[in-house]
Amino acid sequence: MYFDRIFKENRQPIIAALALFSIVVILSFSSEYFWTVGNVFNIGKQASINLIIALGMTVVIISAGIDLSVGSLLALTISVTAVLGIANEMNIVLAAFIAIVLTVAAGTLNGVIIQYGKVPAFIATLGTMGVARGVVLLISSGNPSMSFPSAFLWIADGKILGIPFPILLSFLMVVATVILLKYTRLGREIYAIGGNEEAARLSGINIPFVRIVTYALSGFCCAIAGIVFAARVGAAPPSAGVGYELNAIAAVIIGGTSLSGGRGNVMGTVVGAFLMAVISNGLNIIDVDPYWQGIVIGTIIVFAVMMSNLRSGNR
Amino acid sequence: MQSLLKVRNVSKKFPGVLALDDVDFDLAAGEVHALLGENGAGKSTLVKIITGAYRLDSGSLSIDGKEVHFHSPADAQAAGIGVIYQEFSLVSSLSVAENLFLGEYPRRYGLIDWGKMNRDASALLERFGVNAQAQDVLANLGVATRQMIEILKVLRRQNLKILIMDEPTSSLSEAEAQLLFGFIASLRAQGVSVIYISHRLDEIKQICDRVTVFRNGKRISTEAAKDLSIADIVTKMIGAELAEHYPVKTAEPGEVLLQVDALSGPGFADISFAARKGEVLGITGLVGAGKSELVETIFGARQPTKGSMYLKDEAFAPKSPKQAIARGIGLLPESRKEQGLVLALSCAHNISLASLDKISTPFLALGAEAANAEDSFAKLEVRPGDPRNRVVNLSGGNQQKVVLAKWLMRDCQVLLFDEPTRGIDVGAKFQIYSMIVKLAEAGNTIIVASSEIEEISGICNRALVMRKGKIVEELTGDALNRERVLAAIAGA
Repeated sequence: MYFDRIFKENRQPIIAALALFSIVVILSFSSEYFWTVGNVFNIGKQASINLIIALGMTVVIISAGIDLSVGSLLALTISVTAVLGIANEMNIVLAAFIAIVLTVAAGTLNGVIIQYGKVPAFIATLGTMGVARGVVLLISSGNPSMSFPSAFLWIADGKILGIPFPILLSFLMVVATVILLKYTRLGREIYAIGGNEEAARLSGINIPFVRIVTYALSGFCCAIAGIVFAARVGAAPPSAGVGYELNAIAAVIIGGTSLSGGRGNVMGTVVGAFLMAVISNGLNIIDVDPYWQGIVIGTIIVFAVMMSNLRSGNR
Repeated sequence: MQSLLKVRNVSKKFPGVLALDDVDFDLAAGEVHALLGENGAGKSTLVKIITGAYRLDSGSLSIDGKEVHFHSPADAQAAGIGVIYQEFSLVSSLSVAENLFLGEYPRRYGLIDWGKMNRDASALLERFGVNAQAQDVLANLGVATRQMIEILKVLRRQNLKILIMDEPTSSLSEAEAQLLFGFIASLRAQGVSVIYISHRLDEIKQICDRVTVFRNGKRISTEAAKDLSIADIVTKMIGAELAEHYPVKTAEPGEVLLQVDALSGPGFADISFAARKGEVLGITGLVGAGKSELVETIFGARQPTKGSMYLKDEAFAPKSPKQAIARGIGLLPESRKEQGLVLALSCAHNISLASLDKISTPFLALGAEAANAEDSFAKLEVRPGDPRNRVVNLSGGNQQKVVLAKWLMRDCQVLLFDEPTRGIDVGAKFQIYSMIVKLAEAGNTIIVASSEIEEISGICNRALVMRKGKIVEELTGDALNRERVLAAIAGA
C-alpha cells in the first residue's frame, strides 16, 4: 500500500529516473570515456548551473507561478559583478555580493509586480526578462572584454575533498530546497497557495509574503548560478543565459512538477537536470552534431509528460 | 404500472468492492423516482450503468421492453437518457444560447447560424419561464439560473425519456428549489420519467412518487413516497434506528463572546447580534440574503463598510483571515472544493494548514502532524481512514470532515459554519451536527449560516433570519421550528 502510493504520486519522476538510468547504461556501452572520473565530474558541472536555476523554478512552479526572467537575471549577476569588480576594480567578493543582492531584489520585484500589480506571472516575468537583458547590454556596452581574475575561477574549477565545487554547491542547494519544501512552514504554504490560493488565504496564510518570497528565492538561485557561470566562462558575455528559462522549466517538468501548481518535488527536478546534462554530454562523446540536443531534449519532455498523463488518465 | 426502464439482476464489481449486488430497479413512465443511499451505497454506480458510463458485469437493462446494451454514454443518450450532474457541465465564458446548443450549433452554408441559434434559445427560455436572455454570458448569471440552463440543455434533446438529476437543489435556496420542483412536475406531466438523487429528504417526500433505498450495494426497498416518513427513510438508509434525528441541544448559553454592532458591508446592512459561549446561533435566509457575506466579514475575508465587532469586549476588526484566526475564529466556507481544501494535498496536510505555526519548531514536526491527523480521522470517522491519501479522492461528506478537522486542530473559540452539510450524505451530516453540539457544549460559540431549514431548526439554540441583507426576525425556543423559519424566510 505504502509503496503503491509512493509510486502513484511520483510516477513521472520515476519514469524520468528510469530514462536516465537507461541512457547511462547505453552510454557506458557506447563509449569507454563515459565512466571516466573527468567525464562524470564534467556532467555534474554541466548540470549544476541548470540545476541551481531549476531549484528556484521548482519553488515558483509549485506555487503555481512561472519565472521566465531567470536567464536574464543570471546575466544581470554576471555583468554587475564584472562591471563593479573588473571595470571599476572593486573587490571581487564585494562586487559579487552586491550583484547577488541586486538580483534577489529583481526577483522580489517580480513577485511584487505579480502580487500587487495583479499581472499574470507569465507576463510580468516576460517583461522583466526583457528589461533585465536590456540593463545587462547597457552596462556591459562600454566594457567589451571583461575577464575575471584567476582566483575567481576557483569557484568553477576548485575542488573540496576531490569533488568539484559547483557539484558540492548544487548539492547543498538541493538539500536546502528539500528542507524548505518538505520540512518548513513556508514550504508547506508554497504548496498550499499553488494548490488553491483561496483555501490557503482562508486558512490564514499570508499570500503576498509567500508569493514574493518564491520569486525572491528564484532570483537568489539565478544569482548563485550566475556566479558559477562567470567562473566557468571566465568572462561576462552579455548574451549569457539566453534560453536558460526553457532548460530550467524543462528540468522541472521532466521531474514531474505540475505546471498547474500544488504538486511537485525537488528530487524530480534533480533527475530532470541530470537527464538533460547526460543527454547533451552523451551526444557529445558519441560525436553527434550538437544541433540534435534540442531535438532529443524536446522529444523527451513531451514523452515524459505524455507517458505520465496517459497512465494517470487510465481508470 | 408500465415500466419504462427495467434493471434486472445487475451486479458490478470494482477491485475489492462489490458496488452493486444483484440489483433490480423499475422506473415507470412519467414518474419521479428517488434513489437514496449514503455515499458508496451503490446509487451512483447504478446511475453510471444506466447512463452508459460503466458496463455491467452481469444482469440486464431494458427500455420499453427491449433489452439494451450501452457501450458508451453516447449510446445511452441515443436511447433517450439524459443526466444533470452535481457539477455543471456549462462553459461559463460562453452565452446562454451557445451553452444550450454546445456541440450542435445550427449551421447554414457550413457556418454557425447565430440568428437561428439565438431565436431558438430565446423560445426555449421563454417556454420554460427562465429569467435570462439568449445572449447573456453565463458567468454573469446566478447559480439557480445556471442550473435551469443546464436542465434546458438536456431537455433540448427531442427524445428525452428519462432524466437523471443528481443533487439538483444542493446549491439552490428553498424558494429556488420550489421553482425547480414546479418544473419537474411539468416534465412528469409530459411523460418524462425522472430519477432523482438528493440528500435533502424533505424534498423527496414533496416531489417523488416512489423511493428506492440502497445500502451497501443492495436495493433495500422500493415504496411509494407518501407511505414513508423521513425517519423511515433515514432508518432504511443507515440501517439502524436513529433514536433522535438531531443531537439534543443541552447547552446553557453563557457570557457574550462575539458582539456585532450595526455592521454593514457589500451584501448586508445594519447587522447587530450577540453570540454567547456555548451557543449554536443559526443565520438563515435565501441564497443571496447575505449570510455568506456576513460570516466572511466576521472572519476577515471581507471588509465591512460600517459598524464594529467585539470579541470578549475587546474591539475586533480583522483585516485578513490570518488576523481573525489569531483571535480564535475559524470558518468552514460555503464551497469545500474552492475555498475549504487544497485538493492536491493529502488530508493530513490539509488538516494542519491553519495550524502550521503550532507544528513549526521551526522545522515542521511531521510526526506530530501525522499523529494529530490519525486522531481526528478516528474521532470524525473519516473513510477511507488513511490521512496520507489525497483529499481529492474522498467523498463530499468525508471532505467536509477534513475541513472540520482543520479547525478542530486550530482550537477556535468561535467557529463559523457556512452551509456545513451541502451535498453530503446523511451519515456524515449527523456526525457533523453532533460535533457542532459537542463544540458548543465545550463552551465555544458556533455560528451556522445555512439555507437548510431542517438544519437551522434542528441544531440551533437561536436563529436569525435574513432577508435582502437585513435581519428580519429572531427565533428562539419553541418559536424556532420549521414552519416559523420558513415563513420568516419567505417574508410571509
